[in-house]
Amino acid sequence: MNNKKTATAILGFVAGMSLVACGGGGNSGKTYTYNTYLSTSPTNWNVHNWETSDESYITSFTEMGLYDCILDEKKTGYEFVPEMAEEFPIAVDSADLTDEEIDTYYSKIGNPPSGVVWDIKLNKNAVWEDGRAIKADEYVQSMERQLNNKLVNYRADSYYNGSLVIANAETYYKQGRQTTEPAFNYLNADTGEVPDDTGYWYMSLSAKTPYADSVFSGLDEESENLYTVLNQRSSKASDPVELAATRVNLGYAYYIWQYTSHENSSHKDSWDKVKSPKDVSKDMIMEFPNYVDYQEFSNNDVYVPRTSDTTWVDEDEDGIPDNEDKWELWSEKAAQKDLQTFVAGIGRGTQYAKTWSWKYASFTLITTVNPEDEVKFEEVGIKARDEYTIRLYLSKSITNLNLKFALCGNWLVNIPLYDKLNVYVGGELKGTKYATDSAANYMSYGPYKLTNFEAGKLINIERNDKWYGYKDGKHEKQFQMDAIKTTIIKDHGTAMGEFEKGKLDDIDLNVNDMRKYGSSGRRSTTYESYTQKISFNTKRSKLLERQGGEANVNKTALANIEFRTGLSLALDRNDFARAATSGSKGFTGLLNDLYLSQVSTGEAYRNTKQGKSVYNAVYGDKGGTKPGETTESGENIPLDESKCGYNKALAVNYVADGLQAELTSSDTGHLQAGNKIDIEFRVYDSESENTIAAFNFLNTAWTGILNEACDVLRTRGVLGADENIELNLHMVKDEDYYDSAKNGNYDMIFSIWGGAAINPTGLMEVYCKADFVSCCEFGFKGQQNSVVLPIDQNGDGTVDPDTEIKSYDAWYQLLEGDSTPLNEGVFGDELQPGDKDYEAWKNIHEQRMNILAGLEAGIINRFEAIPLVARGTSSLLGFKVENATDTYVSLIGYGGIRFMTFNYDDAAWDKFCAEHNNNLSELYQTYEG
Amino acid sequence: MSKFKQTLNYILKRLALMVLTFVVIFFICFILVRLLPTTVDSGMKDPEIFYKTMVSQGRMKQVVDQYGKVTYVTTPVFEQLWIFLKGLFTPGNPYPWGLSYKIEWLNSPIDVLTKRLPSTVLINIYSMLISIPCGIGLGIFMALKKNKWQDHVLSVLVMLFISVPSFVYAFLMQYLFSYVWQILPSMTESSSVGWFSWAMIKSMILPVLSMCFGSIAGFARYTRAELTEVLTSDFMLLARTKGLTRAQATVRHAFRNSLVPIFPMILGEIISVLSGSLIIENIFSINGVGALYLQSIQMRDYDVFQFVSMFYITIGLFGTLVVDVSYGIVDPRIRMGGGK
Repeated sequence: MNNKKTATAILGFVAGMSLVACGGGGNSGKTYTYNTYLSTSPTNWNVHNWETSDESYITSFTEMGLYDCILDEKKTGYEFVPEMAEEFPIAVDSADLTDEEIDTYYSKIGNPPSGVVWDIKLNKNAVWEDGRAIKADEYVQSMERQLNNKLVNYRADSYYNGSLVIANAETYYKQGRQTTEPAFNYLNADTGEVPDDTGYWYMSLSAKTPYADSVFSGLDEESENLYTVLNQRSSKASDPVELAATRVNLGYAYYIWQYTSHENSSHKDSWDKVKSPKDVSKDMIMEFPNYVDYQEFSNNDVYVPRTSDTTWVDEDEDGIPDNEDKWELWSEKAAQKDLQTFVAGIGRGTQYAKTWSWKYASFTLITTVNPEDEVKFEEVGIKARDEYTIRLYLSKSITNLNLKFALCGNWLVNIPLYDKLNVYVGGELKGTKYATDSAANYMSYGPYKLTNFEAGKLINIERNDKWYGYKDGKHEKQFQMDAIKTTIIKDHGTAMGEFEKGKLDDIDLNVNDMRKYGSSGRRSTTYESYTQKISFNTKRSKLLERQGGEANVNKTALANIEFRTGLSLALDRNDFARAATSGSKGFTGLLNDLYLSQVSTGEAYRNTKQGKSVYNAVYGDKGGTKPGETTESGENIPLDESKCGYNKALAVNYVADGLQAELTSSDTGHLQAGNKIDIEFRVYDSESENTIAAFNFLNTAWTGILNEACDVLRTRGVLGADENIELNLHMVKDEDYYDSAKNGNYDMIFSIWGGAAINPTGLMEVYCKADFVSCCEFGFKGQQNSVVLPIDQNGDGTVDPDTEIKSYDAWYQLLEGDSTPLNEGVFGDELQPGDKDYEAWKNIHEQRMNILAGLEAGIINRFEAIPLVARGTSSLLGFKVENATDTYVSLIGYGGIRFMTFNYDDAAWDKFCAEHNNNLSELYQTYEG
Repeated sequence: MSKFKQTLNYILKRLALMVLTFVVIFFICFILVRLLPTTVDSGMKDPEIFYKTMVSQGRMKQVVDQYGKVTYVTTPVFEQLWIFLKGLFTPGNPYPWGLSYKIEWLNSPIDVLTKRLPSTVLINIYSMLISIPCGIGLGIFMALKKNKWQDHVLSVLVMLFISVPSFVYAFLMQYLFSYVWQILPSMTESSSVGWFSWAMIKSMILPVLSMCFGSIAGFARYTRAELTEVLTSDFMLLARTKGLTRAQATVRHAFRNSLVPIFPMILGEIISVLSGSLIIENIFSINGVGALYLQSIQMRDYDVFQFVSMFYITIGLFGTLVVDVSYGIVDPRIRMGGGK
């Protein structure tokens, strides 16, 4: 940047910041417009029906939750504030309920437990954009529309299927309809019966079931199915549980292969090529939408393996195995027995040991309500107590914190307009066009109102002067913009051109843009909870098998931890992030900044003393030279944290030591002078730009280090003057590379794991649980319950050899096991200093954090999984506006629209752009922040 | 039989054939799109939601057996067709062509298409108004300057514009005019500014130019080829020997004759004003019909696909008829409905 431009930019900012103070109301006569874009036009932003994030875009401006989770005053965490509610939820003592209330909502359970009845006082100043007051009855009626069984709204399950379970909501929604449901939700834990049991039981490997969540924590939505449970567990050939899992998998696959139509399948070509049930891929199973009645396994010839030997011989390709000694016919009872063996075998606790526990993993046809036994809406757990109070009757206890989280969304719709826009075809109600198509079909009640919606082109949102927040004194300096103009721009190049001209105030960056704007101070990153790592195969025997007898080829060097440590230290992760990703950041840990150690306060695990200790625990003893050695100047230079685990000199030393150990080893197939270390890098898409960039980066870095290490070895006399060791890193395309890694058929992959940000301990499962099948570190797989790790659990500075040395699995069980003594949940979720149980909770919490940090460091220190980057996507923010904070806060981001401030009003911004010839590209590139 | 009656007979016969063709294509489109594999999300959130959508679209139906067991089965395609036809011909049905469930929630396919038509039609009309006179004019000039340097230079340019896809110069023009020189907007305006306002017209200049370069080149090449051939005909020599000037002979005789094959091209251009360009619309953020057809197939928005297909097939069928009839108007030697 030249000096003149720098000065202009800085002057602009100073002038701009002074404008902020008078922003937010348009009283100064200045207007503040935020110009942004979407690449896809939303079509249905009705809160009852929206599906994609683009569809919730409009309502994020025009609607408001009963509560909101906003950036706290320190701008490092979050806090809750009442918005459409007058105050925080008030727990109602069940003793205060009338008999009528108990009869209506809790007739089945009698006296309700605490945490199920809540009063919400509504904000009396809340009005629609036309000025009409929003009263309790409209909330109640809106819930009726949300749960209406004729409208069958997409978001209805938000009020019966999560943490917020409104009494009789599910029954009301499903009345008059028959649905197939996971039996898990309905089973009587003592008898195994389900309500209204019709006797139809189904198996589905693809349908979502809470049973999967009961086995694995932190599963993403796509993995919450029986298929995941069957396939992500330990495998031992002699294990009857393994055999049962295989039989269920293959029996189910055989059935849908032989007895269902594949004409409508998007995998039709693959189905046409299937020759045995083993050819049925995960995608083909996951796509199959139907539930299979267990009776079908008796009514049809379905073959399953008798033993773990699943060899399929079928010469005439008639779908009947010729080797019938290895395959047998399945049946309804046999299928249930197999599932029983599996569920009971992997189950924790006693509930899965029941003779009917196969039902936990099954589905059943539920006739929730018989037509003659209709549920009236008055029986659904929401009631207007007075004009401005609603009472929620829940059928599941919820904590105050979780209730506030749940009520950050809203179900409120403008009832007269909603009903007016109902669409009927042939007398049948198809749905409502509320919040679709045009601004006239919608009514706002938030800080902004929708004034123009032109599908595929434009969304205009303007300040809603009727919003209570502009007058209540509680929203000072918030919502400063007067309007948000959103243009639909499908072409990224066009959007970038507009941004560079100053016509847009933000732009998403792709990997090409990163080369231009990667170092811009205006770049910000939205992080995901995933860490991208290199996972090595470190099992010497498997590497030797893969190495085979090929001359001059070696793979066993990967089993050497010093060699791998050197490879890790050779990577400048920040450079890697710039070169091969579009917004990720160099990272050395397993749990990035998003993971919360304490949800109630928003404290990030990475900001705790334990989280901070991990880097030192891994790299702290690795100075500029190896421990115990000094540099030429005699200093032991600590590894600079800003280098993010990168130290070239140290890398050379470690690689040289590792190679020396291998060269002088007596193990079969050990490394020899003149060998090529062959690393097969299995990747999902070897053609993708990101993968190629990553490969080139790694190849260059490691080849350089290896050459220097060879020089060191020549100096040491380990290698002769004309001897060398080379690296042959090469990519192999493998769309099932996780499965390959699971079976040890790889040398190296990128493994990417992440979980729920509110549950950092849950993620340790993938590294520490001995029976986690998809473990990507083959050399460690299955050893997690035998390899021990010392952790200073109580934080007293020493490790007690009797109590503080445990296997990785045992540490994990201490964090996540059902019967762990370190259970924070028993203390509730919002303890404050001074509360009765605060110290007890704090003690347990600290121990858990100590264990978590110990495990994280322990895993990284094995150098089987080398963290590279914390995944994220980048965007540029225009000079016109400022985020509230530069630090990404979990669940909040950078503060959002609410706290965004303006450096320029519209006129000043136009002037600023004109002064720079409407081309801000160079300014953005060179701005350092 | 008079020429008029002959032409009328021909038109009626063609109209009857058009109806038949329309019906056949209607059935083919209806059946084929429903034979496409259904997209089922891998790892679906809830099969019930999948069923609900399929039932709403008429692709599946719920069957409850005598014991109360519920299953969902694919509705036979001819049953779907029957239901669709019943809806189409039911008097007073506000949605005779069904509803869009994907592209625009619960909107009629007619609305879905007509909302997108104005921007596409306007850009195509502007493009046509520029490309036809410019292309023909350029072709005449090239023919008159045949084998001179002007002809060579223009021929190279014409080949260039024909060979290079329109989106290439769309990007180039957007870069030059919008970002470098900053004299034209890079995107079209919203309809709220008015379809015929100066802001809208100005914003359409770049897409219009992008659309018309190829057409200009096409018309120029065709006109040059036809006119060159006519200019070297014997009757042109006769015309000159009769005493007509070169200009008179060219305009009165050569040009009119060369129009015989060009005129249907012009008609084709007029008919195509209703179709959009996917890439040009993406680049200039035009909410036109370019992507609609593809989108309706990709998203399995069956009713939208059916309506859009039949709309364009109708236009195409009428267009073909008009073009065929126009031959007789342009060139009296061509007779309509002649037996042999």
